[in-house]
Amino acid sequence: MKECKKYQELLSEYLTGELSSEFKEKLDQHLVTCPYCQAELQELKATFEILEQEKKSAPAITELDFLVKVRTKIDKKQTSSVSPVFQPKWLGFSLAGVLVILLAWSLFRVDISHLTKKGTADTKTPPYDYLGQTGQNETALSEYELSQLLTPETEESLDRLYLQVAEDYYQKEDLVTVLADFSQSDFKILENRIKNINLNIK
Amino acid sequence: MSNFIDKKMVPDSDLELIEKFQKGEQHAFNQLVLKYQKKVYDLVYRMIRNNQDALDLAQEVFVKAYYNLKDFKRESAFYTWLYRIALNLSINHTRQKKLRQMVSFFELEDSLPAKNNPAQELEQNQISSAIDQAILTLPKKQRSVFVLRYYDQLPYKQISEVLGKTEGALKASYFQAIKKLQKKLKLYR
Repeated sequence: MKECKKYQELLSEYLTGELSSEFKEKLDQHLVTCPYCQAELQELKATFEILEQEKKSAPAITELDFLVKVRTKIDKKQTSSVSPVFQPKWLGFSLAGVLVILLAWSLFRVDISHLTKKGTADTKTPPYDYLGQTGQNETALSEYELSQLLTPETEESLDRLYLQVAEDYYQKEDLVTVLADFSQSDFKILENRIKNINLNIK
Repeated sequence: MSNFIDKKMVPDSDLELIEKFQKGEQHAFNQLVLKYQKKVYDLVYRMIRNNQDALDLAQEVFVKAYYNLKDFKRESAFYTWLYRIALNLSINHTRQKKLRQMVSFFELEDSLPAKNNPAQELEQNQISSAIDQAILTLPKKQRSVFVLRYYDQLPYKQISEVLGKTEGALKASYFQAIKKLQKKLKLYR
């Protein structure tokens, strides 16, 4: 009986094929002569079959949303803490910020080159469709606003964003990795500029 | 752009990211979250068997990691350290929840309808629920070993690093866990 217990501890590895050949051979020999352990093996198989039915993957999580929530919790904790060990100034990665960035990306994807050409935007045709204001001169961004918004460094950031999103998001469906790789300064510049754009749109 | 691509093709190791974070580079921590969030969430979900609580708790794991990463000694792998936090939080959570709800598997057993219930979907839900309860009623060590071994399929050596027990003790715990699940799920066989 004591010997049986020793063998039974090996049964799960036996079933998953993880047992070394030496132990497998010994167990095989034991199983031939021991109906009690044979019954145990059958019971274990049945239990694993039940567990397998439910062994679906855990519900999916939205990766970016998860990161944003972690960061929000950290930020909250920091603001309520008197003397945090670090003085981290996180890059303002709020959900709203992310949404604004995504919005902006979609806007610039429409016609980034168009917007970068100061004073040459055609207000009678898209790119202003996305504002629902096609052909309305009075509601389009002014040349001054465009020149303010699109400094060379912003253009560069947007260009990078566009290329990275196109490359990574569409090919690897991994936008969160793209966003995580942005440096703090990249993000701040981009987010501030884009927030301004968003305000102008409103 | 080329720098960016190079960096992406050879991602930083955990230790490099930790080092960067310890020097104040916040985005390095983001990368650790992105890398491990799914694994941590899955682990917590398997331990506590509740989706919404698992999400909150998995986020708490990273918040705790954020504040304790400065003390990370590099004596173990980062994921080992992170898993330990996740398991501890999960066990505490279950303990608190148990106190609130007074989960009793025996009550569940008593309330089980006849096995030949014609509604297959209902039966499937009952199986899931029974598995949840059976796992939740395992003692904490056995539950941790079972989740790491059965769901995460970690080798005993790695589980040993996470839980700080010998491989022999872990094998015995896993065996005990299986025996208990076997007993509690016998109605569904």
